[in-house]
Amino acid sequence: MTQLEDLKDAMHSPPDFQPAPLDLQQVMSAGGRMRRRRRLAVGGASALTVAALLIGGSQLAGLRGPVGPMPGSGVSAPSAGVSAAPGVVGTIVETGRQAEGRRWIIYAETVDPNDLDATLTLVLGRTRTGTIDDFDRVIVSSDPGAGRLAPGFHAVQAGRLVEGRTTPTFGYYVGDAARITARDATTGKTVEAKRASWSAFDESERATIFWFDFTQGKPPATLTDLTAGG
Amino acid sequence: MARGDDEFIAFAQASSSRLQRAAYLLTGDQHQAEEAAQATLVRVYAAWGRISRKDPYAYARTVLANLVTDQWRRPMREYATETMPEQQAPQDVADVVSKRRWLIGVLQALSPRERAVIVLRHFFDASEAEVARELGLPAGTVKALNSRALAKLRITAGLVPPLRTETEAGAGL
Repeated sequence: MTQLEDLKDAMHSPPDFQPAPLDLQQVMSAGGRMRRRRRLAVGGASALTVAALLIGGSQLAGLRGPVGPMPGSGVSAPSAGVSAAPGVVGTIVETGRQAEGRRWIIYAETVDPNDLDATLTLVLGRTRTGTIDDFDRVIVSSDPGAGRLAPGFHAVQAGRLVEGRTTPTFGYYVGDAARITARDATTGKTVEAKRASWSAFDESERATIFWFDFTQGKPPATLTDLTAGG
Repeated sequence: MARGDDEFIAFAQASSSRLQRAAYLLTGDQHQAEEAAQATLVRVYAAWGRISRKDPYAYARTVLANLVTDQWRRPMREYATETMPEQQAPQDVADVVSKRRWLIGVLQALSPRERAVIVLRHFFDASEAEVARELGLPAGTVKALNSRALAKLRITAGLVPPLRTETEAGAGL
């Protein structure tokens, strides 16, 4: 039999292998191009997002009464040509529910693709066409400061009624989560969230966007004890 | 040079050998290992602005493991086997290099996921939770893959003094 230390030793000193010097100039050239492509991709989306911001802003302004706390709602429209422009990052999630012909969607956006940990923001909105230019931003949610890609729950917003439309309890979770559940404070029952995998530019920027099912026109359930299970 | 380039160069120089060695363990091919390590450093450089103050080495480790396992997913080059090569005769096993060569050979016969778990867990010393997060696998799956792979490698959990009799410069950060 073999000991674990033998395996570690073999892996650290594999026979028949010698590391080669790598061309760091080429690495930095290719890495720089990749960085610029990412910024362009996010910046391209941002032009459409600006339109959505304006549409969403006017509709938010028309709301009667408070819609509750909206941390991170102070996202401002960028000036054109700024590389660190806001934009949609990753998958746009369809909740499968709609109100007045517009589908409820959830997506993530950033003002700085190189610093998602401090800028990642979750948006609940509605769309009729499924394209970004008719997004109606309803709730914008983010954690304060950095650590937005740290393991755990983030940007969680409780369901509410906004102009008679029911919004879901939603947020995102970083880490393993085969199930995300909460307890319905009224019935005492455990309810399970719907989940969608989300990732940004690379493997380290992954999360699960989740939301609890909701029925239009009915008050949203009051949920407690949000839990992620492996 | 862009801001932070000096720091990146220092990081790349310090970690290049170890990343290549890990890539070799994952691919079993020297040329592919160089390419994978280089592609990893490209992605690290692209993300340097946001990762340099955190743990760029952990980031590089994640990128490398996923790059290699993604490549495996495409051509479906799955060559796992339940039948491992027989360990060599005792007199050969006594020879450190022979034993290392045998272990690396057996490592190459594991499935890609088993091999990725073994390399992350026992070459990089990542915890099971870190491996699960970095490979996007449930923690239970990582535990099972690790146990199965160690069984194939006929590893016992006994604690003995390390067999290491020679060290390579630049093996660590």
